[in-house]
Amino acid sequence: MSDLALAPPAAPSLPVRIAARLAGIARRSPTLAIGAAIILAFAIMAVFAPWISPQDPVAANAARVLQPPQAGAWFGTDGNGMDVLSRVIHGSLYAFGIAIPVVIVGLLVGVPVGLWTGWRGGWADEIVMRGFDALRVFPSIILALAVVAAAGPSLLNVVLVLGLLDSPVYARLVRAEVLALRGGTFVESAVAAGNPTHRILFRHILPNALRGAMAQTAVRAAWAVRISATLAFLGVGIQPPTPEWGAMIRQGAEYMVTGEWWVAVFPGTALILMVLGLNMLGDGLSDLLDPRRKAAAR
Amino acid sequence: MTPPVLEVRNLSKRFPVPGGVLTAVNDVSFSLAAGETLGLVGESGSGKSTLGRCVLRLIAPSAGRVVFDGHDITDWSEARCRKLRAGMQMVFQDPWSALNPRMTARSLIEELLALHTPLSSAERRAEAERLGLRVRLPSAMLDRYPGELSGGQQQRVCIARAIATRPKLIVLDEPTSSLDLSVRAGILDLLAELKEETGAAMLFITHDLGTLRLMADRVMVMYLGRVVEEAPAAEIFDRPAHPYTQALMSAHLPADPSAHLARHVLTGEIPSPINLPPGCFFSSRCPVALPRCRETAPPLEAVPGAEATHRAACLRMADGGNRIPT
Amino acid sequence: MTPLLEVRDLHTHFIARDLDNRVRVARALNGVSFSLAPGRILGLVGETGAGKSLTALSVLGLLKPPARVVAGQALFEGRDLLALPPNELNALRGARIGLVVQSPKTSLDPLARIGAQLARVQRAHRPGLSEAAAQARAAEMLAAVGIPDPERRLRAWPHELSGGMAQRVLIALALVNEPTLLVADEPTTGLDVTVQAQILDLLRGLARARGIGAVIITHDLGVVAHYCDEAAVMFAGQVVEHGPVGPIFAAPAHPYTQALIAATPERLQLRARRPSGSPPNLYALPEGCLYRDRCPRAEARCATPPPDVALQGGHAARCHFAGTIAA
Repeated sequence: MSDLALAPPAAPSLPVRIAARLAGIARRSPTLAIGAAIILAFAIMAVFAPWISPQDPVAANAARVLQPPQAGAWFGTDGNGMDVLSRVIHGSLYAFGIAIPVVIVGLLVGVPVGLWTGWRGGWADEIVMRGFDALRVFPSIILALAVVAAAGPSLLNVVLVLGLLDSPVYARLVRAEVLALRGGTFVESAVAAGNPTHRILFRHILPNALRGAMAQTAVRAAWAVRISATLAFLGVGIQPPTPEWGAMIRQGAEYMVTGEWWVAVFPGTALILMVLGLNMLGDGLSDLLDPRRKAAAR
Repeated sequence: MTPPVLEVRNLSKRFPVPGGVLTAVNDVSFSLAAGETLGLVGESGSGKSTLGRCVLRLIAPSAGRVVFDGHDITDWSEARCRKLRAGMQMVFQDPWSALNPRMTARSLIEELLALHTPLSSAERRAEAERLGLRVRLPSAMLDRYPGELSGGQQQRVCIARAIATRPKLIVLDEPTSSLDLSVRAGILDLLAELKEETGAAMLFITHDLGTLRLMADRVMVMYLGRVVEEAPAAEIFDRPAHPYTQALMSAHLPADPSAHLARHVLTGEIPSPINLPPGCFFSSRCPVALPRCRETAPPLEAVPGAEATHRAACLRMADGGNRIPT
Repeated sequence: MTPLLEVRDLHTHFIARDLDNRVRVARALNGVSFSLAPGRILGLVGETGAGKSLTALSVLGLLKPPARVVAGQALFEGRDLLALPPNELNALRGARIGLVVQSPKTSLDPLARIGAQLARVQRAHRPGLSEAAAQARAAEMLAAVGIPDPERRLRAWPHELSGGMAQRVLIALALVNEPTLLVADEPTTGLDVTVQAQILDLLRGLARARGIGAVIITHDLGVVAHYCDEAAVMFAGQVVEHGPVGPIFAAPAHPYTQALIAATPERLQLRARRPSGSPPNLYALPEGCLYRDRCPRAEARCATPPPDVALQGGHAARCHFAGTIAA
């Protein structure tokens, strides 16, 4: 009987089931799988950075300045004699250390604003949304440059400024969902049940309005990594000798002309890989979370 | 005599739209006693759903009064109405969209208890189980999300919510229209039982006369926002007075090929609900309309030769010409 | 008489992989068979998920993945539609076979005037036809479906039409190329009852006048009872009972048909005992009779597939007890 082959097999063990589920996701969205693999690799690197780095990333050594890649210093050394490999590994810690808080700040600001303007509507909504439009007319890098330059180039400032600059993205996504839900039947049903406004907003609307914003987080994290590296490269972000990729590329750029390519190329490659991975992860996630696709897959 | 649970006087609802004003509900009055089920029947655009929402103050009426349980709630703020919501509940047409997809059936039912009763969380849990059983939802179903329930089961969750606070008034807006025939029967059974058991007044909104015959004590027929006929259920099915009611009943197709159809095929266009014409709104499609029907709006008055509770709005009742000849 | 359309043992499955990468097969159609004689109207009736629309899509070659016809034949004027190459099927659809779909508002091209749409469908199948001739024929067709002032309506946009008018235009579109077979999927769902009667009168009148065989897909037993000559009752992707409308309503032979008719508002007895209504799981259909789990009559032998028992006058039911149980 062909039907027997289709019957679910006797419950497999948990690791087998997890592997099967992962294989299923990978088959449905190879983009997601590759992106997730890259980000997972960087995450492991970041978490275990102190143990897997061969050297202290900020230990200057005048005796071995600008050494090319070789045994013992696989990525070579920079102008201060610091080990580039160790610095690239520690750089991933900074990349996450910026990307994750920037996304959190963006969500913390953007989601409530989107929720409130979408629910409230009217002039308040108009004012806030026009303000956001004005903000988006400027290239974000110029705005970030100006604000960070004024506020001072600390990690905290970079995170706060980038998070605030990015919050309109989440606000718009949440607002659009709230607008669609506000006139919907289950919100009316919640009103008819006698729910107070705050409960309608936070218990009924919010959980159903987050999908779009959550699907964007990985792509926005990629943006944060890219912009923070750019700021550091331009000298207004995180300052050397902190092992941040953008700052390292800036240092290395000076040596490119004289042939010491490794100082800039290795952090540059890491940066490209991380941004690519986050973007792939983000695209895959929004495909998977897209309700139309989900319905079709059933 | 006990005062009515609901009294609606001269209620109108107008919506501003591009190009004019859409009058969804036009000068409607009725009252509803405890334990009584009033069937509100009409086609799309008749204003029956808008009326149901005005009654519960989910939308604010443009004119007229709504008196619920002795309180004139017409001009109350939403915050003030909220205190009365335990006493007036609603069941929606499409249960799938009326339930928050991210809450389990249990938490959806318990929500009503948490909002309106002083019960502890353990008591709420027990009460939700009891309500689930009452609407014939096995307790295993209570831990499911709406997406994991069938349409009939979803509507049972909605009904459990509506009866959880023992309301005095339940508005049912096409509660069975989106359901399959065999599921519909079970829901109608349940509603008929609850009607007797709870003693709640029900406003049953539908476009299906067959359903009303089973549920309603009294029937009100609406056309383009106006009540065109009102009568006890048995009376209106036996002797519909208004030509529109007659046409509506004749358009119903019984599932019996041998049943004789007294077909009154209507011609003419339905007038736009924006900037309605003077006179009777049905006159453009009415087979027995006279020129004066297009000029004078007919009042809702007692049907000659019938009980005083049977009223219709048709000028031709006076000369007996309101019956569509077959 | 040779049938106009004969569907034999049609099986359509949805084949997809789930998140755990396992192949999942939903057996949506499980041996649909019916036939339609020229000039007759067949009502294909059933509840949500019974496979009514899917049957039409399968026959007309309009399935989208993951749905796939896995077995069966659909003979239209002697040719198997399921074996035809796509271009030949395309040449039949819209010309010899007309289709009226469920939602009139979304089925018209919003960016083309009514006349242009009616002309386009004619010229797609008759390349030599002049635009003027096509427009003239379009006006004729609008008049035939009861649209007043057809010349003026040719220039109307779809959004200017009411639901009833849009449905008439769709019928005109389906009939403009003089098909011999018309498939109408829930042609009056969503329309008001007073408008529904007008559309159904029109559909039946046109089919009769032109000798068209029609399949009306509906969930409304009233429509079947009053507008169809024959009925095929579907449950879980099978036709469980078929035959002339009279005997099916007077003496339904399948327990499902009996339950369905008993649940219509006119016949419904509140608080009667009735089978519970959960549809079968298409991913794990039982062996034997698919209605077994809900059937009040089920016995041991229902675990074997029931035969299509022929009763009198072309009436047949797929039940072990057909002919032995009263309604």
